[in-house]
Amino acid sequence: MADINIGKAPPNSAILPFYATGAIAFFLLCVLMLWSAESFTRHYFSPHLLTMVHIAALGWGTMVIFGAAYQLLPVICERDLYSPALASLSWYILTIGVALLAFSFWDFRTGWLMIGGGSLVAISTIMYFLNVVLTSRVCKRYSISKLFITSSALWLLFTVLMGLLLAINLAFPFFSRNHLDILKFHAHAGLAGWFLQLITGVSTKLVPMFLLGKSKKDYLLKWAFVLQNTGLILFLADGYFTGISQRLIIYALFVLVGIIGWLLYLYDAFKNRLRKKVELLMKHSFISFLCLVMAVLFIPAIWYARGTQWTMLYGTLLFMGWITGIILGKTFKTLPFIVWNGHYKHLSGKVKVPLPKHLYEEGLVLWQFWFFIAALVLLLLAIALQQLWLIRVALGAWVVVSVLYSYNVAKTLLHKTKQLV
Amino acid sequence: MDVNAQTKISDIIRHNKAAIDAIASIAPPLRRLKNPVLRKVMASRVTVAEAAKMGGCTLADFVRALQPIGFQFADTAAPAAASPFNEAIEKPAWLVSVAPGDIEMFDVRPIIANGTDPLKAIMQQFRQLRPGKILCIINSFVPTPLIRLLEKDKAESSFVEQVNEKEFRTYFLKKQSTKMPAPTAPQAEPVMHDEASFEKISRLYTGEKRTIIDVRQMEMPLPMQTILAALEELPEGSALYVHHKRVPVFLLEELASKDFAVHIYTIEEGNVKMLIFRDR
Repeated sequence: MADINIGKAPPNSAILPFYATGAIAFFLLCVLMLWSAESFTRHYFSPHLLTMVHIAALGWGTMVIFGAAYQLLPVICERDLYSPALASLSWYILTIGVALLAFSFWDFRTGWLMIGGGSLVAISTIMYFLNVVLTSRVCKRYSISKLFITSSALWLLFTVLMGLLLAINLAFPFFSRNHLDILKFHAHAGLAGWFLQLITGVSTKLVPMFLLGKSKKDYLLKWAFVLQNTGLILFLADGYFTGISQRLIIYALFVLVGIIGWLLYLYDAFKNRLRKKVELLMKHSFISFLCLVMAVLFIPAIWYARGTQWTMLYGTLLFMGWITGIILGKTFKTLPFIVWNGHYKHLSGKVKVPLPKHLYEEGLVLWQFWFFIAALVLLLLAIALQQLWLIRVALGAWVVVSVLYSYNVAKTLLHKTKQLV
Repeated sequence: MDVNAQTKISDIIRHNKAAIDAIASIAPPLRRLKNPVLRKVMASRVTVAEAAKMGGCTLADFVRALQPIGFQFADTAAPAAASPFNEAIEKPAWLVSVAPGDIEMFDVRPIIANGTDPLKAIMQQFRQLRPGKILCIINSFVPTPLIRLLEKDKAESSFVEQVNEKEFRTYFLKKQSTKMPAPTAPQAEPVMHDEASFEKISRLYTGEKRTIIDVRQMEMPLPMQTILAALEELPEGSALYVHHKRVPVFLLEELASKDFAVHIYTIEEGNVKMLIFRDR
């Protein structure tokens, strides 16, 4: 028995706070968007939009990903998480950091508060990075998902540190470069480095697990890794040393081919799946990936066309379509199982226990899916048409999505151990 | 072939085709057996005892008809099975007090004359019926199998009225609240055991009735794949005994949707035993 490595999951107290905070941040994000709907008609560099983007990227996306990653790493690496305590601590620090950042961006209070918030986010990122590297270091098997997860953590660190420099630059200008150019590097290191590579790595492990379908086309993932990173590094290096030019479209193409390689791998697993029923999670993932591809295809439009709405559509597709879409779907394929394990795994004495799916309301998840699609399509349409009233309607629908989601997350988290007779 | 009151007519016919004529000769109502459609509809759903009831004859008449062509009756003294339908001669209260509009009439004689089994059409009619309403099946004989089928869970009660030699009306009262499984109805929940209770349930499946697999060394998602594949080939009445290193949460939902019962016993972290078998 000694040779079996269990990969114990960290205690739920180290994971669940991330999900709870993520749901609250998502709700807050939707309310703030509705509150400041006119931000969607202006230039993207505005205090309110900066607040929203950081709540979306850090409070919502990164928050849930941290929680999910702490849970998944032991599963993927088949060993215990290096430090559950560090994981817990990273929650406190990230939460405070995001709150400070969001607060200081809203009224654009540059200075120590913003820098402090950025520093806390950077510290929690370092903690996350350490846990990832030290947990996966002893991974017996070489695995491409491990590579993606590690590189994404590195990109997150890079992104956050660059963000911290930007915050410092706002208070004490020291950049020789255009602040907005550095902002683009910061944003894309986050999007194509952190989110893309993390989602690529995790999904190549999880999707085959859910579908019970394996793809043997590992070479697709190797190419995906090389192309996603090459495109991003070339964009950053060329942009920094010679200035952002239309060559960025070539770099975007690299990343796009890298994305397609990864999606082809997933499609191959989907084709070879044993589980024929296509679940809601898969539909969520499909919409999410569609948004990602559409967003990348928008890049030439942002470069060549006039008007800020292209950038706005790009950001909306990425944050609300791609990242939010995948989290909305995946939450109910991870969270109920984590909570279930906490309540029922160790029960004994001949007791009947509920199934994980009885911990939340399955019916509401379906409603959430349709509201999500309606809200997303409406918002994209409204931004394209630059109609403020339609933007408000769409954002109202987003608030409904966030309420449905938060209700189910809360219901799962507040579940009390039940024994059925 | 040994026959008793509970033997299905179809089994008798399958054994010896001559039984068709033999049974048909017992009583006029049983002549329908010679009609291939009615034979298909009735024979597999009716026992000797029920056929005797429909023919208005006794088990002894069947013995007389079937013994000459080689059937042995195991227990001729056995009482005929209790009638599956209401024997009251008076109409029951629910049928007396009903408003005429609440009875839906369905004459299945043309369907049978066309050579089709009316069961599907009847079930569809009954499904569409609102709870508390009545469906009346008009037929040329007492539809014993249908009565048994509907009274099992869908109909509150039934009543047969003989109009004349060739027309029987069977009334079915639909249950007030049909117990359709609600979407949140618990499905085959897993049972968590301690050592003693797991030992007890495991003892039901020993020797050939137990298939053992060990998935502890496998990389995900192989354990789930292996278990599902093993379950596909699990012989009827057997159980799958799994050595696992953790409680496989994803598998639990997959199994519940397939009507498997799951019994789990966690010995220690990394050592979990599971017993999986078909629930029904």
